[in-house]
Amino acid sequence: MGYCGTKRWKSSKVSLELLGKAREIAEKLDGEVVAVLLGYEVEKLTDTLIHHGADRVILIDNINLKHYTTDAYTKAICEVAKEKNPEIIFIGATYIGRDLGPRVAARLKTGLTADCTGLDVDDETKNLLMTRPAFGGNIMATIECPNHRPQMSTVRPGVFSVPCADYGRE
Amino acid sequence: MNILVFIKQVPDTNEVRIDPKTGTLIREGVPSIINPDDMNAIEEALRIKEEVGAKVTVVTMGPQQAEKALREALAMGVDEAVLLTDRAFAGADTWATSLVLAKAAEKLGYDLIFAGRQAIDGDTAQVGPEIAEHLNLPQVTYVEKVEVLDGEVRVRRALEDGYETLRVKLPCLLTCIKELNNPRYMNIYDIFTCYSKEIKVMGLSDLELQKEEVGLIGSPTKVKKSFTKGPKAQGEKYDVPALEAANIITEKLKGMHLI
Ligand SMILES: Cc1cc2nc3c(=O)[nH]c(=O)nc-3n(C[C@H](O)[C@H](O)[C@H](O)COP(=O)(O)OP(=O)(O)OC[C@H]3O[C@@H](n4cnc5c(N)ncnc54)[C@H](O)[C@@H]3O)c2cc1C
Repeated sequence: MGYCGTKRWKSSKVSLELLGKAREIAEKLDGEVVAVLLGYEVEKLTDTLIHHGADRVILIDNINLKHYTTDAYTKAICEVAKEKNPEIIFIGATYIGRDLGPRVAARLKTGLTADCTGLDVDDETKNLLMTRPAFGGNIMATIECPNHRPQMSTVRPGVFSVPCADYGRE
Repeated sequence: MNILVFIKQVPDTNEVRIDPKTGTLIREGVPSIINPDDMNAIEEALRIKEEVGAKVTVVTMGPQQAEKALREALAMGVDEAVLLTDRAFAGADTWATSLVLAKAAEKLGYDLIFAGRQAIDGDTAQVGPEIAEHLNLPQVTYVEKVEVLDGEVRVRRALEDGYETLRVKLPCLLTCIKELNNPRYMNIYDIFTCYSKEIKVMGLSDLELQKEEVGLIGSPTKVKKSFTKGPKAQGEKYDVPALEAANIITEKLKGMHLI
């Protein structure tokens, strides 16, 4: 039961990159990809998310989400996470994603792997394997979050490619 | 006003060497410095102290030798220094680190908290926001300008494509980037007195924390393995006139469907 949440505020490219990767991971885990879309009057973006690999989109459209605030966005994501109990949450490692990610992880009392450049699933344990650079890129580390859920990571923009849109997906 | 500044002692990464056999970092003999963003955090706290008056306390979690980072901060002019050290704290990820730092903040009291945006070793930029969450405080990350007003601060935060200016009620937590200011040097007077000042030391029991909540055991994330990036494969060399070089390049790019 892999359940991947992806988070986006604008039609940012990294969100689409995440969807491609989330799709790949979800297939390995036999789970589904759910995109969480926050904003105001952003409904038209839901199709793009589906076309790029989301099975479902959770849309929270509210005037309070028009501009990013740490408070409102953390609250919205945490409510969704508490209700849906996702296995995995991916967030783009943009300035905003790196403001939001640790706040959400701390509230959900779980681990967060920063700035991942590689994501895979352990064949045996089915845990997410998150690989990231540290020490200014001098060292790479593969990190696991074995006993806490969701497993969370922020992912660097431009690392994974945007999947080809499939306009037939519904 | 009480200002807390969280600082981390980090290896000077220009000097970092990796053991070619084990792929791990060689820490012995590597000089340690105060994390660069944290220098900006100290500077900003001192600037506010000079402008409106404040007591500035630096706090670090680390082994005994992290005391040196605290002495350096004292030599820059901060008022007090606190070392959080305990064998149980070792191996902490950002969740467990931020829990210890947040507990210390509760014990010490604060109106304004500064952290660096990111440490140059762990490189996660997660500790600041996680402390703020543990303390249930508003946060602003990537701060490049701070003005103290009455009971609130006006701050400018950097974004990829510009910046935004926010007003935040105190108490709050701000994470600093190098654009914020130019950190001062240690001054002669404080260098002389920094060794006579007392450093407050706190451990697990002082913070009323349990062993299971901190350090390696309290950390949700585990480093499964670490390795150095393999060297890049050798490139191809051409020694040809410019025009021919241009052709080779365009052919290659076409081959990769980039143009
Ligand atoms: C190779 C490697 C990879 C890692 N990857 C992860 C990961 O993905 N997720 C994870 O949760 N942990 C990870 N860790 C553990 C993490 O490095 C430690 O928890 C570290 O103590 C804090 O993280 P940081 O260095 O990234 O700090 P950052 O979050 O980048 O630091 C930001 C600011 O927080 C303050 N701060 C940080 N540490 C201290 C301290 N000890 N004392 C006082 N102030 C402090 C400083 O103001 C600093 O500027 C990793 C460790 C290694 C060795």
